[in-house]
Amino acid sequence: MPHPVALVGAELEENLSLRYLAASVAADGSRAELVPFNAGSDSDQVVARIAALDPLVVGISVPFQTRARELVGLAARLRERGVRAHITLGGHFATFEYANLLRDFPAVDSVVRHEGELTLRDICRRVRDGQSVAGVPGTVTHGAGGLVDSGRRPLPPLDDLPFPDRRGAARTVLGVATAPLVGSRGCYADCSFCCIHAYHRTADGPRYRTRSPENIVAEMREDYERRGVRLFVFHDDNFLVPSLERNLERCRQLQRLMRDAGLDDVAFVIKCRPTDVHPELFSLLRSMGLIRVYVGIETNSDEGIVSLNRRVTPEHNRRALAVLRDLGIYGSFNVLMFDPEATLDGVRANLDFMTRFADIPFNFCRAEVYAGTPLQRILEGQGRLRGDYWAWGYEMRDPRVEVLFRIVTTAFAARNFKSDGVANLTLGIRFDNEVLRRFYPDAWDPAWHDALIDFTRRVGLDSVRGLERALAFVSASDVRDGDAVKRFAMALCQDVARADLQFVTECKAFRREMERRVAMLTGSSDLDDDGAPALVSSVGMGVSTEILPVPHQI
Amino acid sequence: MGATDKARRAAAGMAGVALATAGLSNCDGIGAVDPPPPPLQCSDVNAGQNLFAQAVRNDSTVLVTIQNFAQGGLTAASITDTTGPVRLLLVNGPSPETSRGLMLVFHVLDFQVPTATFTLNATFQISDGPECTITRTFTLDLSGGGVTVTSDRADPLPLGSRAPAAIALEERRGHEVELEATTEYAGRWKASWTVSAGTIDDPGARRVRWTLPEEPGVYQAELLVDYGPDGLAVDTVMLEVRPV
Repeated sequence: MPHPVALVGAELEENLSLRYLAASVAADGSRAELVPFNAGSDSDQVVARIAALDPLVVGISVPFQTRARELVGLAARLRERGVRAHITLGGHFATFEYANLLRDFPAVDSVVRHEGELTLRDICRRVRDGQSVAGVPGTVTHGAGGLVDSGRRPLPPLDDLPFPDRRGAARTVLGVATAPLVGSRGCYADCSFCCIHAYHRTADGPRYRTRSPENIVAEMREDYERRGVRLFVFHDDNFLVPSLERNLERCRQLQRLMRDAGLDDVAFVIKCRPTDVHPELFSLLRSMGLIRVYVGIETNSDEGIVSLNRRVTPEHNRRALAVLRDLGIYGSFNVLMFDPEATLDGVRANLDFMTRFADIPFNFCRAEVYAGTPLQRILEGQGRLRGDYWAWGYEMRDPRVEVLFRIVTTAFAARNFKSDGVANLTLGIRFDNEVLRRFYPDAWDPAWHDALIDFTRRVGLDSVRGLERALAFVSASDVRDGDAVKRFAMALCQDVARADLQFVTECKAFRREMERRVAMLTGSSDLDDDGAPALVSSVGMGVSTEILPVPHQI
Repeated sequence: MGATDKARRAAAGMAGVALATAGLSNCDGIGAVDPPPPPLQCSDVNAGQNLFAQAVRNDSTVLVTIQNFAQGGLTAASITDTTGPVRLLLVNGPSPETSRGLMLVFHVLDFQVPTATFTLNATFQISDGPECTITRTFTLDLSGGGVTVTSDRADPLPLGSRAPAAIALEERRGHEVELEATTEYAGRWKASWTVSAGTIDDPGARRVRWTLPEEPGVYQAELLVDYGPDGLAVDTVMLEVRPV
């Protein structure tokens, strides 16, 4: 059997980037093996698996800084293990940091910049034929005189790409088979913090490309028939274009094609900018099966909108969420409350917004500095960029805002950023509720729905109250008084933790009730030891709230 | 057949379908939630946040010990910009014998001048990570015949460390669980634990045994990690006792 191509990356869900690559090399006659690498602790297992495959080429997907070091570090470990394959890196992070990575990790043979389907295909051909990879457009490789940049590769039309590899069973949510897909790549906007914009701006082609509705529906139909997929998660960075007429036209075409293909019993989720939320368009999308939309609110403060180059107004933000609320469409949003120019007034404006829309799940954090972004260049130019290419950072201009950020990041760390934290649990239970409403309407009722919205609102308002306390503290206190700041942060941490216990307890009760309802309706026999429906978490048993010590078993 | 019936049939028709309603059933589409920063980076040690200095004086000799608290070790070091009434006599380390730290010996030249400063320039190899440069200036206070060594903190604002803390669940035996505090913080730290119910054997230890109540319910252990002047970090774990 010929040596395969090993494609390494996170596979917490179907990893579309790896699966597009797998389909591309398979179409060229190579065998692709997907090697999930979901956490640093998987490293030994991943190395052993790749060594056993004895691959021709190893492709490592490095999309973000977060896990970049352990992903890139895999190359050296593979060499130590005797793997002689050509090792190449790809993804957003590698696209921008290729020079640093090739300098610091000699075990890496090449970096694929920008979209990799055709470039990886050509690398595999060259390696298979015993030729040098240098000269393959889209690559950067080691050369005798330094790095060899073989230039950019023109981006292909998306309809020309093979559909992503869909090996394996589809994941399920409440028994409904689910799959991610994309109908476009890139984004028409140019937010200063956004790596998506940076990635596509520097590529050789349009910064926003769409697939034809026919091509999208053909893929949906294939997965519908083959794996029973009914719930489609559109991972488009932005599902819509900045024109109501064009959006209506495209979505009506999608609707017609979906009907013709028998896809009238599906649901889908999208992401979009607030400027593109319009009642007529979203009524149409809802009728097609839209059950959730992530709206890129990002900030509602005047200075944040400028600093982050959002090109929206607070009225756009308000109207977008009001439209969704009026239409009964489940939405969620994130607030980049902190950015280099954030002010206390801006924080207040965001808190007002979060209070107003507390019934819609949200999260909040700082605008981080991603490789290649305008934000990185701006901060570098101002001499404010801290850290290194693995993790850039900065301090906010106003020290009170900086300390506020430090306090709330500490106090809300578990709530906002843990996979089983209250923020994610709230998003999850609300999403499951929409799955229930769409696919099991007999198990769903308005009172249940209202209870979940009330839960969401209480979580949101509790976060706002904590933020307001912290805001009042930094407004009235000496933020350089380390002891006082620490005492305040400690007290806030404890209050958030107490509230989280209550919220998680409630959320688990909601979840059990939801599963019970579905089990009764479907006659599922997946029961656990105490007769309740089995709690099979999509995040596995390793997360804290899912560790359920049943006394007679442990 | 309606949309719902078709979906239900499709779901039921798949072997081994599990009812998955979970926290992250939609995390794939959440979008812009930024993850916390990764483990130890050069930016965590560039200003010598990982170093802790102590000094003892014997008449005209001052011995300064600089210890490292981060995962990794100093690989090279030099002392520059010495000011005040001292002269550097000896630099011992970095070496395994000094636990990858340093020992410095100064000779006090003038007993009337109370303060001296020196700057450490070093390289630091993070375990399984990059090699980083470190620069940190220390001040010796020689007044009153004694000596103390201090250093301006790398970050003048409070809560300078963003290193997260995490609770590792190590063992479960009946109603007892063993929890361990973990952090990538580069300096010295101490843990303290509180629980919503049940008992904990040593609330100040890094590894503790938590005995949960017999009564069914969701219970919480909260870990607070104190980084001293650099701040703190918190993590919680919630466990559920279910009816037998």
